[in-house]
Amino acid sequence: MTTAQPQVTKPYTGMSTKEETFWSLTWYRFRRHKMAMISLAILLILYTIALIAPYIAPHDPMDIHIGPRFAPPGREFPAGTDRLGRDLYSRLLWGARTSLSVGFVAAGVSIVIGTIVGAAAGYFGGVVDDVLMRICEVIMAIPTFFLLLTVVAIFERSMLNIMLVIGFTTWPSAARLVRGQFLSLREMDYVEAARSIGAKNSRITMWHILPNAMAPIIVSTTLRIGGAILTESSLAFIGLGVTSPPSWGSLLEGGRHTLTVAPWMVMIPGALIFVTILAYNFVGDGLRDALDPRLK
Amino acid sequence: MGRYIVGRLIQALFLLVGVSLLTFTIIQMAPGSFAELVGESQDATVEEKANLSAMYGLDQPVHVQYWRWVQQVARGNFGRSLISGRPVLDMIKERLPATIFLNLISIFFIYLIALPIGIISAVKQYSWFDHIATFTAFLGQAMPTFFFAMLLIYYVALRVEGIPIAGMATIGLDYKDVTFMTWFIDRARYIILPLTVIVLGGLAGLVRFMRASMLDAINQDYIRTARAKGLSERVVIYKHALRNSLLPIVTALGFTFSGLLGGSIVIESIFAWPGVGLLAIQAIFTRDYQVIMAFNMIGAIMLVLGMLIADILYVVVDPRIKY
Repeated sequence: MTTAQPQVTKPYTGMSTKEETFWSLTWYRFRRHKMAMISLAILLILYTIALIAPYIAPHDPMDIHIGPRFAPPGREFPAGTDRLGRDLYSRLLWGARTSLSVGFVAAGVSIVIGTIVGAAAGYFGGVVDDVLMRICEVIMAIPTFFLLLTVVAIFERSMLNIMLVIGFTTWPSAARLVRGQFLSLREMDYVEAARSIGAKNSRITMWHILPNAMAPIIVSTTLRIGGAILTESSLAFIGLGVTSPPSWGSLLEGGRHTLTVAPWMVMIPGALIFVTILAYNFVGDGLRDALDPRLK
Repeated sequence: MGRYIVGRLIQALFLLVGVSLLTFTIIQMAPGSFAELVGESQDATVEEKANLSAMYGLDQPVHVQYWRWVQQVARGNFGRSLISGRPVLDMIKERLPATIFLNLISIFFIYLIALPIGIISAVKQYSWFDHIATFTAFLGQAMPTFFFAMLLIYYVALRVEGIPIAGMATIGLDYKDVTFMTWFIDRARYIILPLTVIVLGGLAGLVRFMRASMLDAINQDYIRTARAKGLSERVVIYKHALRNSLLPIVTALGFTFSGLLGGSIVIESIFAWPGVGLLAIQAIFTRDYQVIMAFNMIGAIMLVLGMLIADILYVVVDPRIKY
């Protein structure tokens, strides 16, 4: 979608009254990406809902027999009820909390480990690079989803564990991305200049190279959040997701076997997962265009 | 070329050793041993549990267990299932045809549909066709497979007569007893839903990839040269550009196959497709370590082989690459 729109970089001379920082320019370019802006709005709404879920949920998400079993969506229960008469609307609001936090933390873990490993491999090169990259290859050689299943099945299934596991199994691709950036950036003149005035390795990597490698890292983080939400919901669908409070995926799984009786139990959480991931993908795409207009 | 392949094989071997170590370590970290798990369900005494552990060698030190396992695997023996007592390799072997059957047909359709769409999208960049194709691909990438499967079950299978939602073939229907057509139609009825889900899931990525690759080729200098010397647009696009744009697609094939293997776990569990994915899920829920390890190893072997084949194909199709 986005790649289909020609990126016309207007001259910025007309708006010289304001100071133009890198971020203001990025925001200026991002704003012109219509789908990304709509998606950003959707995500902000979803995160707000997740934050205030305890205050706006009409019922306790875990309370049973609040209404009749399998009540279809209506005035009293906007999203219907489930097999134990729990209010699905309240459960969905709380589910937003679980699903969005899982996505955020898992992607965070993945990108932080990936950045540290990738930076070390790319900056130092040689043996360090070889060893770290071989480790990445080993992890990537196992089909990700199966590796994930193995680990999730073995450890206690708390929300924190699931976040960590998704992060720990997906960092190698981030490491490769960051390594590539560092490999090319470490040859730049400004790095040479920093080194010549006696800057330490830690200073060069943190303050000189990393900021210049940020664009792809930010884009990748955005896409990773959507990916992590999708992964958690796939796990949940198999019966290995976060259940207290249930994520959207676990809610969908709860309606899996009563599809003919209560299709809303599958359709509503499913649609929410789909829209959230779609929104993250659009924002990621918009950011890619905005952060680096040369990349098309 | 020969030396290159040998080098790659050695590299692959090291990779597999790494995978086995990793899998073994993860399983060792598991709290709650197999003996505990079985013991609990059978009300076993402490002594009986100890016997159970000794029987499977689970009371040995870690490195002894690992070494024993490696020795077995080197002889093509993945051990016996801790649950059913049957050789793991046999269990996987009887499930593998169903998975490969489903995945090969899926890959065929994915490539058959995705390549033309990607190519046309690139050639007619920014046309309405391109816009619709890229937008649909975007939607497809965000669609969770299980949700799409549930939608298909609800809106198609439950409304259309003759589309079963579970299984691979009608029970009792033996291909020896019926005509080919009957057999074919029966198989087709069962495969249509899982196939649709896998194909539409896999399409999105490949369409975008093909489009990008083709665009890249079209913008090369040799295409301008080809046009400048007056070749027809058809020859320029479908001979000069297309051939070169297919190179990265070849490499993607290796990843596609192993990716589908992991993804088929979800699909197989939804449609009760009797493949390795279902077996894997059962193994995970029962902590059948031997089966889990075998599954990880086979997954890794397939990926490593896939990449190896892709690399070799790459050399074959691109004469510029020399080793």
